[in-house]
Amino acid sequence: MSKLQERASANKWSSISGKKPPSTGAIVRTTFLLVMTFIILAPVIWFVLSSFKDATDLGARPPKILPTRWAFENYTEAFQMYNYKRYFMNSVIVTSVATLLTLLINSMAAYAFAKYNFRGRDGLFVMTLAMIMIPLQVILIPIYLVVSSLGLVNTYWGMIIPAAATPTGVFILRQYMLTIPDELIEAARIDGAGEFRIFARIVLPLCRPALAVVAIFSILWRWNDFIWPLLIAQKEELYTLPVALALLNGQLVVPYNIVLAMSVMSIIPVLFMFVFMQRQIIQGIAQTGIK
Amino acid sequence: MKIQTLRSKLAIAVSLALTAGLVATGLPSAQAAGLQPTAAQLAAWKGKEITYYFYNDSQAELDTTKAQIADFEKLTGAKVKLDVIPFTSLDTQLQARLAAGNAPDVGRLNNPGLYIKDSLDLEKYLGRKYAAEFLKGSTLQVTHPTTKKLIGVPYDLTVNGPFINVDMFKKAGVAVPTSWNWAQLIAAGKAVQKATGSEYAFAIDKSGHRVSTAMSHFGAFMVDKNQRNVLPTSKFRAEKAVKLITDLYKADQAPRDLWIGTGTKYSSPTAIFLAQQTPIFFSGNWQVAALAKDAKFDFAAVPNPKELNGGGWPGGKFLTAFNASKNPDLAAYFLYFLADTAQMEQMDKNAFWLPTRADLVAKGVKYATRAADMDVFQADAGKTPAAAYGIQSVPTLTGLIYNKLRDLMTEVMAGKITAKQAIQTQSDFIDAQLATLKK
Amino acid sequence: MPYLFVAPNMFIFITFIIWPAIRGFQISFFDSIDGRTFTPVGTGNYRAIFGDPTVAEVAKNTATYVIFYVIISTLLSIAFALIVNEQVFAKGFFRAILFLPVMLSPIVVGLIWNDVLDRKVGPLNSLLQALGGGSPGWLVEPKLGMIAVIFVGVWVHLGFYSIILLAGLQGIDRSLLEAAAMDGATRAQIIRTIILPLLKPTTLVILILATIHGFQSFDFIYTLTGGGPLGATTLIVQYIYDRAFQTPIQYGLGSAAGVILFMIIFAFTALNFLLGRKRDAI
Repeated sequence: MSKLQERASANKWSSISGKKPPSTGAIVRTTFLLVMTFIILAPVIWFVLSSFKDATDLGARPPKILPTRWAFENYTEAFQMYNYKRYFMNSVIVTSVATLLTLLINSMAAYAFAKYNFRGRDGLFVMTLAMIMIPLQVILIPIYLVVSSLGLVNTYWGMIIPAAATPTGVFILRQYMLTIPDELIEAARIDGAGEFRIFARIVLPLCRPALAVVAIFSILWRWNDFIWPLLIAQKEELYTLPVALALLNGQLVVPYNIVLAMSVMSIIPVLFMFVFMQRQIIQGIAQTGIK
Repeated sequence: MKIQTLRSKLAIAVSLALTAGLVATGLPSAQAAGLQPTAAQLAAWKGKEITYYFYNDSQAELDTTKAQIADFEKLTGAKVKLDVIPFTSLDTQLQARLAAGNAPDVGRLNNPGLYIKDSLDLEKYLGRKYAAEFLKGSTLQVTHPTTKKLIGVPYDLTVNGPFINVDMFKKAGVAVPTSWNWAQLIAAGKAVQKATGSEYAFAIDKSGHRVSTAMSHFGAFMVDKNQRNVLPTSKFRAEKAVKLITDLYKADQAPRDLWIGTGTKYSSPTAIFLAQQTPIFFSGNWQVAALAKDAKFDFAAVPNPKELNGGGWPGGKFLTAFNASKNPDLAAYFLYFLADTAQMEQMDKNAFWLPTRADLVAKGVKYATRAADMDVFQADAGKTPAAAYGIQSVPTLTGLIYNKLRDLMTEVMAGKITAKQAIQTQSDFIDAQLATLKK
Repeated sequence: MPYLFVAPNMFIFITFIIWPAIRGFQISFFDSIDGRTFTPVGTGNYRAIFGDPTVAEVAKNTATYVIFYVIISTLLSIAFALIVNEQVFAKGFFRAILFLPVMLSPIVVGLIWNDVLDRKVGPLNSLLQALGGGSPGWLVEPKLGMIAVIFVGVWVHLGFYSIILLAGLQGIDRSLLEAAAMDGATRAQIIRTIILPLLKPTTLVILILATIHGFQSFDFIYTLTGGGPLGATTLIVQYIYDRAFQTPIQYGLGSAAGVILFMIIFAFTALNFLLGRKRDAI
């Protein structure tokens, strides 16, 4: 068999040796991967198991892996006592609306940076990037003052709007849009299409992978964000899940077993989403060609 | 219209025709001779909303507060919005709100000293004699330092003191103490630890405030009521107290990891006590509710060990009204309502709080359960030396001073400095802080 | 027309990030204990920071953390990406697993590792003891605390960097690799002479991201160690947080520290970027 045919019969992905799976190399690789998988998974699994332990099990020495008694009441208590449904709904609302808003305005800005030549373009773009480097704690109180003077404290919008102009989102989308051939846009212009129409009907659909990536990052970040909502949500009805978790964790007497249950419950939706969208995410990152 | 004028007018009428008057205005029938708003005030308040900035240590406090708010709303026709805040961001959030002009109307606070200039002068709305309704000396922290006006009320009194695991003591054959000193306490703890194989002999909240209790027993104090540093005169006694505790931690007979490994965060070994890994848990009466709910063993509050002094160490939370309030008279009345005899008694019973009102302390609160524990704390409250209240004369500095003590103890436990050096550094620190007051 | 597209993003940007940042910068020249009253102190805050011995320790901790974090996470993620790239069996599974820690909130990360690294009750030490080792105090010995924190930081972000590198690897022209293989080059040689150099731009991105993440690490560290033991894991963001949110509140000082941090990150990033550019130009 010629080398070419060998390679063709090997997996679609590029194994650079071109041979069939080698012996020692594969063993070393697989061992390494299994060890890393253990290091990554084990703590998480331990955590989930711990969430089913009651107070005595949690303090037991030496630690038991499996709970002696599956303390489902940790979950039911967290659910009932702490208005879990409300917090969950709030998290869902804030995350989804914020992501949509982010996608919209970031893609618009990215489009302008990628496909237009206008005065101040480069300066604005660099400024956008530089903003990633500002430590949040320093501007937290000034942002709060601004938001409050706009009357947005204690509102969903107050939680959603301020962080929607993400620099990473603009960056990723711009990278991707740079690869869209200008001719496509020119042709549409000649055909008489309006600028916004071009953006919405031609450019955006082509950006799907990049949009998926920005969406994922936004969802992840918003779902777990607690610093900002903690400051803005001043009434219990607005609390998101992480705020509720911080609330529990910050009490004078911390119900640790309930904290665990609530933490696990807060991971599940994100985990779910990831398992389903894993392929899109990886492909999206790949195709944005972060070079 | 000021309630003050109202009060003198109605006092006689109310005491003469008590029930009738109460029924006519629809007020709670429990106590006599309280402030009652006039019909005009009620009309003005109807539909108005005030915000109550609140945190809770237990579910019982939250539930009772909600019930009392419902009563208040029925009473006045006004609405109260309850904002529940995590304890660790209590001050941060309040600062943020005040900075943004978004002040609440009434707040339950831990550090009222930080908000002196934001607090409402209560005497204007509730009369100059209002302060006398509370335990003598307990209003020091909520008295304006220059005008001497009352700007808040003590809402609950906390007393530090030890809990023990009665089951473990029984198993070890060690008698439940009715009085002891520190040496005996530690010996008992170690004996029970040995007999039951528990991990620790002793545990105390990671807090300078709690440690001050031990210092007080030995007759060592940090600041007196004239804002003076009195640590130098009691240096050796302070060292002794600190060393007793840090020795236990150094030897890992008290939860050393928990104390050292949590940096500047507060940590309480409640979980360790609940897991029955320590026979003695030095905390305070606010734990009773949570322990009653979660402990799967017989526990009891026992008297503080007595050296030179007995008794506990005072603490507590306060209610304040804010002068940025748009309805100051309504806010003041809400505060008054919450701190009134009937409401305070109800809260004390449900949440295992100690009362701060003179009438309730005299009468004694009847707790439905855990009465023995509350009796111990109340007795210790009475035995607390007057010097313990001294540090309340510098309300803006107490947090700093306690935290410094805590951090220094961490260093002693880690073997970086000696107890002697720690006390010296603490004394210098207190001097530096007191100096900032003079500026 | 482009201005219309850029406008919404820029508006939110300027209102909610730029303007507060300017305010933050302004505040650094004042003293404030409540966020409402400000007393001007000129460069007082900056002088106080440079003269404060605790700041020296915080700076040392931050430098230690960032250097080790950046180097370890970059090297490990490159190694990982190369290995996963080669992997044939269950590649998708491994990629997914890698990404898992990225999805956890920092509080949850802190809680998990607080539990696992507990000296007495933690599963890690139980495992070590079962294997005949000792029971190190990961969270209670200052040096071990720093190691633990670096480890957890890398643990969280490894997947993120690896995925980006994987994407970069996919972009390498396969014909180059095939040609080299046909010429008889070993895998190690191919990696060294072709893949790594072509991966440079992506590696640069990782370096920059890691530097920024490293300097901004706070949430999970605070949950894990609270800055202990004995201040060994107190990094600069915690320093800022303590000044702004714990008594005694010192907004001015916190803001000044934040400005300094921003400048440091900026300098590092610019340096990284310029060095990267230079190498490409050669």
